[in-house]
Amino acid sequence: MLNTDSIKRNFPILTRVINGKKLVYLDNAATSQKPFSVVEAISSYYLNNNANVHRGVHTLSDESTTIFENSKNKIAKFFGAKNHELIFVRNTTEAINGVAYGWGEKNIDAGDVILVSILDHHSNIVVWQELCKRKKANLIFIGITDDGKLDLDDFDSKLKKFFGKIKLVAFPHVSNALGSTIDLKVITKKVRATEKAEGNKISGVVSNRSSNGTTSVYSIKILIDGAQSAPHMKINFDDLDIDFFTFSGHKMLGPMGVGGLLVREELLKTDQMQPWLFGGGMISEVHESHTNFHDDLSERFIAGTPDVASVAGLAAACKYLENLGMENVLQHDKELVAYALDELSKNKDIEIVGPKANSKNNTRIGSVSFIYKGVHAHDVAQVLDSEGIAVRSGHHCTMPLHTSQNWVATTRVSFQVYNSKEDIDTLVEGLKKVKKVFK
Amino acid sequence: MSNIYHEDLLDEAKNPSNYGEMDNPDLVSTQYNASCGDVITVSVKLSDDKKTIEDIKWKGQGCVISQASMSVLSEKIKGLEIIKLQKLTQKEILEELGLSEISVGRVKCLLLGLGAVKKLV
Repeated sequence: MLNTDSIKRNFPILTRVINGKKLVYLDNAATSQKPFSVVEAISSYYLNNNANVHRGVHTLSDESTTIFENSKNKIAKFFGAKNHELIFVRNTTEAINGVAYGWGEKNIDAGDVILVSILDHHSNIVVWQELCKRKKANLIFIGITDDGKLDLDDFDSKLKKFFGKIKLVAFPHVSNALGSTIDLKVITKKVRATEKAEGNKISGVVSNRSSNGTTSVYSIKILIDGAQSAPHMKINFDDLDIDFFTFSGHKMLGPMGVGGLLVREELLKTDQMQPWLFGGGMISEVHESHTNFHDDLSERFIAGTPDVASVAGLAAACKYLENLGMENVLQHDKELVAYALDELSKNKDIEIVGPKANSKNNTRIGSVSFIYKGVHAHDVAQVLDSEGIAVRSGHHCTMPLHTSQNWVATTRVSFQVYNSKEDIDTLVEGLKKVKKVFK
Repeated sequence: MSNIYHEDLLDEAKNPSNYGEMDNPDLVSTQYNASCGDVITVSVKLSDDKKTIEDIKWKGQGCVISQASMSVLSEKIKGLEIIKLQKLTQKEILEELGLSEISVGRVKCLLLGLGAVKKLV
């Protein structure tokens, strides 16, 4: 376990008293709290260095540009990506929209298939629903197993069934509602093996993703929504055989308003992925009749003044996590999840949903969701708030998942580096009050 | 700022080498600086075996830094094998200009000509 006593001291908000009780913040999958160093990076930028980037010769503009570039380097490296593979966006939702507009508009045609999972967050569903509507394409869902994991058999059969039409597979790395984790290697292997086998059958052309990056017409793009994985585990984008990875800064100790879209270099170099916002900053030359975009592969995606302060804040968050060590961060989370599962299972009024992991076998990451029998999740959350405990209740932006499982609403507790087993003990105590109030 | 605008550099920009137009060039390229609209166009003639830059002319408009750096660069690449163009670095240009460093805001000015040269091939 991480030393949460010392970590908590870096997060001033955790000293707040809510309803007479010391705050226990267990709503981290919605947004995490921010350490001093992140807030300081932002305020220091505005108090000392603020000026627009890239367009000035004066000292402040130089400083601002340097802060922006260094921060970008830091963040790209944190995700194991090349500098020009990182496109700044506001959050995961905007990143996915960016893929729909920058790649989907040009590459999705009538009759094409986009595969998503029933585990997906609305941001990875609605965006594709809308694109499919515009293009007369089809959105197909992969289901889950009884214990809330992605149904790999269903995935296999749909990969085969719709092969030749599938242009995109869009999955969440970690489910925000259930904590179910997808093994990316398993997914990419299945996709690439199918491309090879089925592609051969159709045309005799082997799908080729060689180092020079050529892909056949049957190549399937893979988008991974990393909003819930990036806060807890090391991502090495360039080692993954995926095309897009999305994340939100605010869920990984960084500020709201900045996130990232990682795009595989080849898609940028070959213009398969194109800018979807236009204007200043993203150009190299503008004429009355036409414009050439910026030579730098990711600069051409930054239209207008970027949020330099938030980028600096996100870089500080990456540094904070790096100092803890992402392996330790992941281990810490796994122990909290296992402890929460063990402790909550002791309460007979609670039905835990999602993977039935325990301390010995745990593939859940980040959160534990449950149904309190006979009490609506909002009422559970309200009672817990009266004890200073912050949790989330509802469908967690996964309405199709909740509908498919006949869950009205669930209560979710989710963790970050500052959470301790004592926080979970407080939660377990708080849940006893639910029984007192409603039974 | 103190020592950027030393006399040699100002002279170089005022009286640039190889400035002008070329009839029937073998290769031409143009590079813009997106931040300010400065532009440099480079034209070259190649040797008979097409491997070496035999002559170069360039035209452009821009700040002292971009014009002086293109001027020294044009001297440097005259007679150079074209396969060596891609290996030219920012450091080499700084040295040619007698500068030890340049602020980030001016790097694009410094490298404008080099961008045009690298785009030749």
